[in-house]
Amino acid sequence: MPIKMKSILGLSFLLVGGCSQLHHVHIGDIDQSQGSLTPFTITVNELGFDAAKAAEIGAGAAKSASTSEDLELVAFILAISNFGPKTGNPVYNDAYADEVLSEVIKACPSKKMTGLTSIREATNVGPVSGEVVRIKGFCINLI
Amino acid sequence: MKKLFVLLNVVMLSACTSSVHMSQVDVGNNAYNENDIGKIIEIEKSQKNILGFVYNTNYVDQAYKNLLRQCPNGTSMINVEYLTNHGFLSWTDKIRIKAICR
Amino acid sequence: MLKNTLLLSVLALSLTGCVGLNTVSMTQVPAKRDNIITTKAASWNLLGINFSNAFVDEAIDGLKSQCPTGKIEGVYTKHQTTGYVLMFKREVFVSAYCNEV
Repeated sequence: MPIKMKSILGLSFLLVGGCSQLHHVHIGDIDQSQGSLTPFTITVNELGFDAAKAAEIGAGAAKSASTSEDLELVAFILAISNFGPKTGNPVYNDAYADEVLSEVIKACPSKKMTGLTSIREATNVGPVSGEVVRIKGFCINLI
Repeated sequence: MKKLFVLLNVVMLSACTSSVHMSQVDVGNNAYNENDIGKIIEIEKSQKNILGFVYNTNYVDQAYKNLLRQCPNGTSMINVEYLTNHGFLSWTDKIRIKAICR
Repeated sequence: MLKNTLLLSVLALSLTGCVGLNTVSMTQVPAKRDNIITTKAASWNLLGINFSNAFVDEAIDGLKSQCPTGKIEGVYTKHQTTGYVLMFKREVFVSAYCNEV
C-alpha cells in the first residue's frame, strides 16, 4: 500500500477512534419519596496510553524496513511486559479512582443522596485515551 | 546509541501499567446522616496471575468477608473497584473496597 | 504441522479450568445477617459466542424464590468466566440476606 494511502487510512482511524466507549454501568436505587432531587456528577480520569499499539502503528508507517522491524520488536517487548486483562487503554496510575467515594460524600449539602449511577468509560483517539470513572447521582432536598 | 535510547524508552513505558475495570459506588435506601459518616474503611485483596493460570476467584470473597467482619452493623456507603496491575507475562488482579460502616 | 497441533493441544489443555473475573458488585450490607441466601447461574458457550444472557435472570429468580416475602439486602454478585478447550463457562454467583420486614 502506498505511504499516502496509509496516512489517510491512519488519520481516518484516529478520527473515527475519537469516540466514547462504555465499559461498565451500574444503576442503584432511586428514592423520590423524600424530597426533590438535584443531580450531581463526580468525574475522575487518567491518561490512557497503549504503547504497544503505538509502536505497531509506527512499525506500519515506518519508511525503512529496518525501522519497521525494530518497532515491531518494541511492540512485542511492550506487549509481553504489560500482560493482563485490559479495560480501555492501560494507565500509569492505578489510584486515579481512589478518591471517588470521598468526593461523592462531599457532593450533597443535605448529606442525603440517591440514585447513584457508576459509569466506567473512555474517550479514545488511537492509542491515547481518557480513561474515566463517572459517578452520577441525586442529592435529596429534604422537604 | 539510538538503540539504547529506544530500549530505555521501552523499559520506561513497560513499567507498571494498570487497568481499572470497574468502580461502583452504592448508597443505601436510608441515605446516611451527617452524624453517621464515620471513618472510611479500606480493604484490598489481590491475586497474582501467571499467564492466566488461576483456578478460583476466592480473593474477592475474602475481601467481602473482611468487609462483613469490619462492619458488624452494616454499611451506609460502599465503593468497589476492580483493577489489574500488568507485568512481565503475569499480572495482579486487585479488589479494593471502601465503605462507611453504620 | 503435527508438532504444532500437538503443542497447541497441550497448551489448550493446560489452560483448562483457568478462571477470569469479569465484575464484582455489592449493595449495602445490612446489620441483620441471620438468613443468608445464595444462588448461582451458569451458561456455556463455544469460542465465546453467546446468543443470550438470560442465565443472569435465573440467578435473580433463584434469589427471589428463597425469599418470597422478605426483603433481599446486601446483594453480593460475582461474574466470572472459566475457559476450557474451545469452550467457556460464564457464571454468576450471588449471595444476599433475606430479612422479613
